[in-house]
Amino acid sequence: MEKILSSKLRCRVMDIIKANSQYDIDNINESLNIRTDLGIDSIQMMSLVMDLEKEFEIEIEPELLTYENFSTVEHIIRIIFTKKLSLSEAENEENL
Amino acid sequence: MKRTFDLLKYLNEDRHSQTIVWLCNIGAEKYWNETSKGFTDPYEEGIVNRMEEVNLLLCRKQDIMILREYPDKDYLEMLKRFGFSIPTILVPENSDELTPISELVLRDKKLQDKIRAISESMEKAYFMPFAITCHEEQIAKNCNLEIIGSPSSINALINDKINNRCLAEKLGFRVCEGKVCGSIDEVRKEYYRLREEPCCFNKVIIKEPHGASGKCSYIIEDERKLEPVLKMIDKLSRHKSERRWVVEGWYDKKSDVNYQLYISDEGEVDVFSITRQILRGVVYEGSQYPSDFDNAVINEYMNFGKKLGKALYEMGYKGIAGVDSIITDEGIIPVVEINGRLVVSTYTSILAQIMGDVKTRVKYYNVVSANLLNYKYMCEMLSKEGLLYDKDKKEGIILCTSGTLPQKKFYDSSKYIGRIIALIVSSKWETVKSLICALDKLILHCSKEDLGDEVKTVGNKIAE
Repeated sequence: MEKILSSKLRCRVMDIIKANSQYDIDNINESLNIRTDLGIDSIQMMSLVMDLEKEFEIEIEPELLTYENFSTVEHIIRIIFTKKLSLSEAENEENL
Repeated sequence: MKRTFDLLKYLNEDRHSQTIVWLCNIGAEKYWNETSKGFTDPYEEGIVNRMEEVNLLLCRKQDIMILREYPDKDYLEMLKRFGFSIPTILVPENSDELTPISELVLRDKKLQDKIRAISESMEKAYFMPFAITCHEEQIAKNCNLEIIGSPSSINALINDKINNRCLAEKLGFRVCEGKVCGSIDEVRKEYYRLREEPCCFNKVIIKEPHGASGKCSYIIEDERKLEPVLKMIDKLSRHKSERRWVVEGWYDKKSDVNYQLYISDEGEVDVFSITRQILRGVVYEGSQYPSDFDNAVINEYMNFGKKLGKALYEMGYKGIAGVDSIITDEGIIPVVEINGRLVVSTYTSILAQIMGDVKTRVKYYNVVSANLLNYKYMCEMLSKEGLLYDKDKKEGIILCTSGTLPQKKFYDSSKYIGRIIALIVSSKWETVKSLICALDKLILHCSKEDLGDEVKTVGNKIAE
């Protein structure tokens, strides 16, 4: 189940990143660098973060907003996945 | 009225008078007011900090320039060849890429003693920082320098977009349609008011009061973006004691304009460097000097500038201020934002003015390059293409900095990032245009991946 969620999530994250990229890229992959391969600078990054928050109904804390955390597509997928996971765990606990 | 200090005179016709100590403390805004950090990128911050080198182009031989890093010697050689004077350059000990330069200076007692000794060896030395905060005031005190500009507390007031809007309204200037909002609900309400009749703006901008360089300003082009932006500004302002935003309609502009004011100690106001700006959204990408505005427009700006300068002086402000303005179909909006400090375009616009009767364009290139591009290599490439500035012809391209060039790999990427700041000069606009086209192509060529041997060849030549 986690695998399916993960692969669906990957695709959705990649679609959002692609929509925010400054370059026309057909094949987006996990290893691409957000700044040097996709041309997303710190101002455009805010727009990307807002799109991710809206799509996944999450909140990314201001202290996480650094290129170190968001340097590659893979890094972003990991952040979103961790956020979603902790949200669903919190929901499960509430339901119990 | 005789002025105690006349910056424009000292930079133009009276270049041998007085000694000025320059410090380009870009990013000082954070000491004045609570600013949102937004997205943090130390690489970009490092590049912005090295834009300090642009200041070198204004220096006279007898001046002192404090820099965080000693510039590339090829760059200094080339500046000399272009006809610039190289001042005494001082670098703080244990300097790094990110610590604010004034903090580095204040930590280095030896450096302060050295400046103090130079200052005391002459009748008076002036201190011209990019912006004045409590740190530069302390440096001036420690080094016995006379600081040019206003006290830090006044600067904090001037560098506030809410105060700017209120001042423009008070002076009876036309302002952008919109208002200052004190809550997220109020921002939302104002957004819809601006989008609906009779305003009908397609886009709306939400600005935090103290952001710089386009940071903390959000242009909403699509209604679906409104709620995510509101969520973001709410989140980023949670720690702040004051939560206010300027919400304005985004105009289809005929032109973005910047003009500079110099307000003397005696309250005299010079309005200068009225330039057409080239922006990407809210981010500065270059400017054109002289502007091609007709005399009526220039006169209007002169009048607005004089009136604004007088009001700023009454508030206690002195020194240089840069004003962003726009021209719409309905006429001029004289104040969109006031920078009570220098801005990087101040340096380049003063420089363009010093160069005399020529047409100039400044263009910024944010470059991602597969190759390391240093100053010598770039100048060799420019020279090879016949594009490098020729002092006798007063034509060609000057790269204004070396420290910002793509010479550092970005995080775990194999590519280099940097900024090329080019000053393009000619007596004719058509030549300026064609030089820009050629430079665009050259930068693209130098940045691409299959240059291995070519870069190596030039690199070897440099080593020899």
